[in-house]
Amino acid sequence: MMRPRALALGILVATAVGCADSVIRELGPGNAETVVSGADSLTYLASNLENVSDRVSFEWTNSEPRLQVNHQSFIPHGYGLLVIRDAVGAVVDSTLLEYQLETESRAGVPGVWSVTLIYAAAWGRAQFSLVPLPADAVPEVSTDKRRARR
Amino acid sequence: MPLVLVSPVAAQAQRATDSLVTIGLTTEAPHLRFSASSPATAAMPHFDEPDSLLPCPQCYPKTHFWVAVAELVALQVIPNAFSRITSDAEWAKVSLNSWGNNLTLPWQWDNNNFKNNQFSHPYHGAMYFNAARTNGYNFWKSAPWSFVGSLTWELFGEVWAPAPNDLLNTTLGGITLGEMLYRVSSLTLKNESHGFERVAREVTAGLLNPVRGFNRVVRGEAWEVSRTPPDWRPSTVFGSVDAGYRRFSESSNLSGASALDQVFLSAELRYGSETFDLGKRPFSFFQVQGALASNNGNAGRLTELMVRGGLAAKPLGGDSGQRQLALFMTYSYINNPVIAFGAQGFSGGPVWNIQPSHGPSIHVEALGTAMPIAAIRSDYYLTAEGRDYDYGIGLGGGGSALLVWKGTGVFGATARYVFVPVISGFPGTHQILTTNVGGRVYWKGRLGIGAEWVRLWSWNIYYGRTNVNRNASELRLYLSTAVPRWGAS
Repeated sequence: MMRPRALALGILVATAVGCADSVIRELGPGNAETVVSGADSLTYLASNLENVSDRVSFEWTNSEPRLQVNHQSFIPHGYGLLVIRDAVGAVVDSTLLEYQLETESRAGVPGVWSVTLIYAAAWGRAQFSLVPLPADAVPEVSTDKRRARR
Repeated sequence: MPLVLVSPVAAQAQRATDSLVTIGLTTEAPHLRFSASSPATAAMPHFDEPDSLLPCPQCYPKTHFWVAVAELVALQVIPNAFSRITSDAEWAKVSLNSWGNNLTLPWQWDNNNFKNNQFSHPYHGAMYFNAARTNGYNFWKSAPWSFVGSLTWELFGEVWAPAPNDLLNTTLGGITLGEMLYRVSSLTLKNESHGFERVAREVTAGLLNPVRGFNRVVRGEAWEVSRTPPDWRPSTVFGSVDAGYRRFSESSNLSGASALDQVFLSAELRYGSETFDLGKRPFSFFQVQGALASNNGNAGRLTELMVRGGLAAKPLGGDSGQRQLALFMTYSYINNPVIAFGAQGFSGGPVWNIQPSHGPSIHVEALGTAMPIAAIRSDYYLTAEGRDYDYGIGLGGGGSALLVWKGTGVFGATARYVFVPVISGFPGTHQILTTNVGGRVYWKGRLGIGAEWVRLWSWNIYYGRTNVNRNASELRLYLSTAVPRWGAS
């Protein structure tokens, strides 16, 4: 006789646990978001992400036609997307925020570039740096350079 | 074998031979002797009484549940701890918090590269499977261990979100590779042997199946002289090694800028008799085929690994073995510059083995295929982490016909089709049709030459992007050696 009640209670508990942290959050003070922009690099950090869905953009002056992205993010749940546009608005890179990875952008027009981050139910840490690359640098975008995450 | 740019003719070169060939294993296991006693039973292996009075403690192995559990845990803790200690990997720093997140947050398809997801994960699953299989459990009782091992790793072994592709590849691929490795390592072992031969056999078996090697050392079985269990030996066994040249091209005539030349080395093992063993225990009959290739680009040296093991069969009509309704479990890994395809699946349908009194024997099969998970190279999906393929389920089928002239040669033709609606990756669908014809001729039963001509058409439909159709071809020319000699009787 107690089985239906126990089952209902179990479902209630499971639902409560499953929905316990379904609140969609935007970036806030708890994420300690920092952007350090300089002539020779840009670094970005936002930590303690817990179910963050948000979109942030900023500008950075790139004196070279390309850049290298040093990924150091760790987002085990959800996604972070990095979109970089050159001085005329052309997309030169669009990539997920990755864990321990180096990639390079396509060539674009030097000048004021825009960096856009899109978070989708992201948990963990967003962290990367951008370094200008001259046009004649040897491209490194190959699977040999990619590191498996596990 | 569900897909192509493989060597289906080579793969089937011996498919029908088991109904013709009896292969003596007397040099491997003295207590097993096969003989052909009459024309009617010429193809049936017969087991003589063992001529050894050695005890056989491994004939009826005891189950060791807690040892198996401990090994399953070790197979998770060791790689986790290794990554944590050697590279301070954040993904390995599991905690109650990460377990809670993995239990409550959504699963995500992961973006590992092709080899990692389609080979390494199934291999790890094979070790989970063998934690049970080498502790006394049979095939069916070992199969859930691949699932449990994979599930616990996804939930508790790493911080990353659990991935459905990992669970499916590790579980199903682990079962297929696991049973294959268990049986191949059994074939390598010989409990009656001594000295250098014994060491070589034990080391080889340990390399093929590390969990088994560990257990044999711990239990003292690695040096204990006893009888080799009869079920460690198939009714027939056949191996072949091919070496040669192949040329790919994304054209119908092997020309054009995309043409690529490779040197390849492939090996095949055909274990058991498709005619007589399909209806016995799972994988009493299986085929495994692997190939290494030069000049294979980012795909790496391993260009092909295909396993097909019999799960069950039912005779059709009164003639035992000649007409059967068969069910197979399959593992597919093909990675070359033209195509990447990996899948875990099942295939089933009628299989005919016809042995006329004169002329070649005939093998015909028509199998439907269902793949719970299939990975296929995408034209648009590419992540920085290295994933360049789409995931979906695979549905299709195919047929093949093979003519075998005993001791002389084989000629065959195959056609396969698979449809893969994309579940994860770039939205769309993939369809692949492959055909191949080929043959091989042996002289003196052991050395041979072969050739195959393969055609591939693929239709890749992408929502919102330009569709991509392919028309590719492949030619293989090779030398072959058969072990034991092909057509031996």
